[in-house]
Amino acid sequence: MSDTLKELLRRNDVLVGFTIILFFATIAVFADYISPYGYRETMFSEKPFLEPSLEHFLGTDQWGDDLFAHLIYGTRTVLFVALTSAVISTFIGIIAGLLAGFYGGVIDEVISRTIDILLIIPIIPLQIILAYYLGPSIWNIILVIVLFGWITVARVVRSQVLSIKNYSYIEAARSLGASNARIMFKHILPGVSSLGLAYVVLNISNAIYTEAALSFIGLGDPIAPSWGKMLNYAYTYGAFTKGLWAWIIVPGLFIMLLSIATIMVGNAIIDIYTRRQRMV
Amino acid sequence: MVNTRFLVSRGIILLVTYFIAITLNFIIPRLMVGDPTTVIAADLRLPPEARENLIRLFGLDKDIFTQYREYLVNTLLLNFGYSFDKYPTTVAQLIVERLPWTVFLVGTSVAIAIVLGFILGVEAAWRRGSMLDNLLQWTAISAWSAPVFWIAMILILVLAYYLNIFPTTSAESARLYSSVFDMIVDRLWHSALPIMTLVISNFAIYALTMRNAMIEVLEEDYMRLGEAKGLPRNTLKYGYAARNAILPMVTLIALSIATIFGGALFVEIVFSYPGLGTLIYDALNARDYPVIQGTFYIITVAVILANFIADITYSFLDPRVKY
Repeated sequence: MSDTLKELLRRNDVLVGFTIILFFATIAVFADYISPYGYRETMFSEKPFLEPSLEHFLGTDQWGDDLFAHLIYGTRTVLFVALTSAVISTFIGIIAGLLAGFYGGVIDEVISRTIDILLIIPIIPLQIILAYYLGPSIWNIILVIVLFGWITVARVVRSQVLSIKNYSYIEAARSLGASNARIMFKHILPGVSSLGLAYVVLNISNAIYTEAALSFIGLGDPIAPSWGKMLNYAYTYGAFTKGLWAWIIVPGLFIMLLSIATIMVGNAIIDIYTRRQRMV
Repeated sequence: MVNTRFLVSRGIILLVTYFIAITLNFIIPRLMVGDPTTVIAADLRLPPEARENLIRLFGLDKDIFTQYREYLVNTLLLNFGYSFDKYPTTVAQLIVERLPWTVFLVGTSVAIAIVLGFILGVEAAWRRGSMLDNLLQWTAISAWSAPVFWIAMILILVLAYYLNIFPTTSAESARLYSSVFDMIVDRLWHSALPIMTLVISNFAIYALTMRNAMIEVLEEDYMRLGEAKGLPRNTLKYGYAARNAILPMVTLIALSIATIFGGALFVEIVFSYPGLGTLIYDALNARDYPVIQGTFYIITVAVILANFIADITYSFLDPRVKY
């Protein structure tokens, strides 16, 4: 693991990715010091649709709320939703992949067919419908992301387990009388753990996207600030016909930057992992 | 040469998918809202006789299994009852009206994205490590990361608001057309930005897949043999390399159909384009449950059909395919 980390830190793309992620993490942690106003602090007390100025870096929204404050505090929501759902869905994906790959047979059949089907079903409309009927809240958004976030992880882990399963050290462990659970968690899981890490990172980008999309059509948490919600307001209240470019460009740029950073780091981990696999 | 066994097994999976999707469509509203009549028939916007009519049609006064059976039959007949918001328009009428717009939008942009992705992918692989190649990788990651509705908003901001080249909303002008030609031009002009959005959002990932597959093929021995034989460059590039590298892209196309449909919904919303996306968006805002159900159903069917077409294409392209 520490070898992987060392190798990672030697790569330029990872350093860039880490820096960007650190940038957003800093914003989330120190939001109170960065933003001159609280979220919804200037609501109704400031004029609506103000252009960007020194007083309001990104201008104000339809209720006079400071958009820069929305952006900064939105980082917290976005990171919270993305991290939580990425960790949970990767965890589920690893377990499902382990079970399917290790046991094979009926368990594999059920898990693999479920994956096949979920890959065909139009997930975005299904997520919209679920989020709609569940009602708008952060936890429901996380649930909706997790329900479909485990699929890719499970698929990749399963195929990795299938190949690791045949290595001689697994056979050695078995002939020593190790139980299935022991083999799975002590001997196979460490083999796929860096892959798991990669997918936590990659799932973050997936989660950011889904959260933004749901918030954009008004299915986000009504209380929490978020980048998708800023875009929703920008669209609903016609920011582009008013030429309020900062309101549109900046939140999307934040979504894109954070997503690119996570993809760069995630892909780098997978890259190192596959190179190691080839050497074994 | 069509591989029947492959198609049959894919057909079975698609059929199972169909049943699971429509069962979810049946269960989710009932679980969340509770009373099934609320979802289908009980809304103050409907007159009482229509309500009773619907309750009988969908068997809502009977047990859940009868309801499910009636539901299966009714969905096949595209019977989703009335729109709460636009009574007496039926859900089926709304869908028939909107579906062609979405299919046009998705079809055109997928076609353009595929052609663009193919050409760029082949060129990037052929000139590995060149500017084009590097640019392509960055474009792919960026396009993947940028929300499709944000791309749409930026295009509106720049091309419609600042440069005033394209119209911002809708799919046609609010005027009478002087001729069929006039109508087609006007509609294409209105569709330009939505199509551009979907192409920008999707072509790079096709190109990247094509590039990666192509690079593997380029290292095959027969490529070197072809080169040594002195085959013309284009035969080598397209006839040998691209022809053998195209399968991953076909797989990706099949897998991405659902995503593109999803993306199209958001693009339609931003442009107020009169397709299924705006239909479902308006229905969500108006608590128009039957329309929500019907739209999800029709999107599912469209995606499943598109998948099947992709499978047939796949088995044409690669007779070796096994399942």
